[in-house]
Amino acid sequence: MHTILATHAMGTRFELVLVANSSMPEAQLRAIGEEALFEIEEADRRLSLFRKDSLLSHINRSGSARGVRVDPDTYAMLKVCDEVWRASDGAFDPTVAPLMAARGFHGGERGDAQEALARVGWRHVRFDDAHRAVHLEQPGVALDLGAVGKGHGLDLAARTLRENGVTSALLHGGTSTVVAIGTPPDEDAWRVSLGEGAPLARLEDACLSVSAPHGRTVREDGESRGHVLDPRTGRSVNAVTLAAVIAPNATLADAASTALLVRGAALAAPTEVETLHRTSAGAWRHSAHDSACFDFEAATPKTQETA
Amino acid sequence: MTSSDRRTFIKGTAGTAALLALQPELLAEPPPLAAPLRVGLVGAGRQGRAILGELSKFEDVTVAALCDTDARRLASTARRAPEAKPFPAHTEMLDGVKDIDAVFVATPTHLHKAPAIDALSAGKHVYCEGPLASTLEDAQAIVKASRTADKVFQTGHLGRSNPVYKLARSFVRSGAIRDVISMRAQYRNKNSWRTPSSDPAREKALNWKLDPALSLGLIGEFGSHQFDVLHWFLRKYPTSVSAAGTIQAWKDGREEADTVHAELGFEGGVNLAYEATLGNSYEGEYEQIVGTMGAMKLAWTHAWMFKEADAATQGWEVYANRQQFHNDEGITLIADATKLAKQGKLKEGVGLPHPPLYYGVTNFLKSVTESLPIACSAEEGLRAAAVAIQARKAQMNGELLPIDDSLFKVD
Repeated sequence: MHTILATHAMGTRFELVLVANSSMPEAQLRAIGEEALFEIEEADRRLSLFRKDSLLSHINRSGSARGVRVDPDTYAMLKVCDEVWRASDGAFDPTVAPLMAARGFHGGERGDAQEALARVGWRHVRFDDAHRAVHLEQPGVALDLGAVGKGHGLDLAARTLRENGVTSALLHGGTSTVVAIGTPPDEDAWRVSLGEGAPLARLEDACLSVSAPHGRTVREDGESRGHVLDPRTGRSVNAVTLAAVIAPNATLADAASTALLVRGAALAAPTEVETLHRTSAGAWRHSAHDSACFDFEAATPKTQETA
Repeated sequence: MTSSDRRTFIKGTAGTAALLALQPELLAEPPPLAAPLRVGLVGAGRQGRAILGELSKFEDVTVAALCDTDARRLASTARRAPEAKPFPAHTEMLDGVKDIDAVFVATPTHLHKAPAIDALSAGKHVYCEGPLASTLEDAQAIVKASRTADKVFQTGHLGRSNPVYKLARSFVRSGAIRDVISMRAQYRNKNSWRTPSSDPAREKALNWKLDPALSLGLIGEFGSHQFDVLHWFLRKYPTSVSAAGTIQAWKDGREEADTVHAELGFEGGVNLAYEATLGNSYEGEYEQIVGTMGAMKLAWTHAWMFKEADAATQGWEVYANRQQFHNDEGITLIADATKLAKQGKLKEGVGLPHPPLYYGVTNFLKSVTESLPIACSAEEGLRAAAVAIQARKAQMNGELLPIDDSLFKVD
């Protein structure tokens, strides 16, 4: 028996599949799930770029004038962003907001992409650990946490589920970010398909994030351009057609999968992530630290290369 | 018309006089306080956590103490306030951290009285969530304590500190929609309203909202806030109430209604129709005031005015953002309008820059440090609670009940 709950947040649908256990009544399991959904909705209210009353909008408005104090969860999430920015040589960079807006991915009028690119740079983000504050050191710098928002919300939801005694569950946001708690009954892992011809992901208390350049697009010079931008060049990326990361937490998985998509190569660090990507030529490239969770046998991909 | 003419015109209109009264700097950034504050929080549930989230924006505020009778919830919430010392009871908190200036009370409604009165007795300023209490006796006791103590006491009815609502109210008060003919309010949010508990012994206590003996139900927990908005807009309280509650969506053994309807009658025949349900989320939470020259829809972070064709035009409307609602076009009521008009960005100013709770918390902090007028006093909290308590009684007994001034009295 399982209970399914869902909510709309961050422009997508989040779903929780909670496996019942004999000691927990269904109403109790649902109540726990609702508490977890509330965490996701709260993360959306906090991190939305499109809500004026979000904490993120507050940071973007005020962060260049002075440091903005944030709650511990937001601060920890921003520190993960910092870690992945460093590990990816800047391929993952949440200060991409002005560039996204200028390229038309935020709706509204487009702007000067070159001018916007000059305002992109995580190096302008300074952390004040003593005051748990974030400072944007250059006016015009703005964060877009769309690449990690789903992971962050799911991490908080999973924390709530675990704290309340849920030992088996699968959570996802828009099917691209997944958190597995425990395993399904009588099975050794949650198995998540990455698509036809792709390996399966085997998850047990692990998180998966899948990024691809398709999805939201804009038309430029008669061409369709994807929404994942290289923050170093301002261009839409297309060298990798699918990037998947398995990590201990979903925030890290989300950030690392975006970095992988942009960079086209596994991160220098952190080492606890397992990565898989498919090049535009159709070749799979795989990097694992100790235990591999991508099941190539199950997929029989046409081309397989293991780094 | 040149842009300069436009600005002159905008400044010259009656509606804009209300806009100019808003302080733009209050709307965007947490203001520095005249003095740093150390505060405690009693009640570490969802509302307590939301309060912590808003307090964390203020550099001058330290959450020094935190209290909840549920150990798991206390530990979970303590993570969000690392500087706070956790306590299992408010009495221990008040004894253990004596240097706090103010206490936020976010316990279950029927448990507001003890921490609110004890905090006042200990010389603390108090922000108490609304509804103020679940019985008239408790509400009256809190009012008496607040009168005796020379401290700030604010009830957490957030409409009164919401800049968009203040603006909307100024329009209503200045006759923009003319004579009020009817009102409607709703709260819809699909959820079971249960609080999880890993300890069966704690489940009943944590699920006080579903216990008809303790709870004011949806009418109290949500309606009281929405009714208070309309009391404040109209400067009137209802004179009668009828209500009914049913279990429509959550047939899980509960006794508390998941769907309620109420009719609140005002002097002169104006009616407020209210619906609250846990079975559907469509259109969420809003209040609506309909007048002979227009209607106002208030949705906490946003508000719109819908004008009748024969209503007088106010200049600023021409440049305001508009939103289509099926066949009707709403003019967005804009907080921060003067500043945005100066920047030529009037159309961009849609929605509040912070959640409504932020403004309630800000108002309280500034009342404490700078003697800013209290947004919602204990007496106003009592009146809002009294209306909700009477509505709840009407719901439980299936009666039409009067609401008169005797309910609002404190001996």
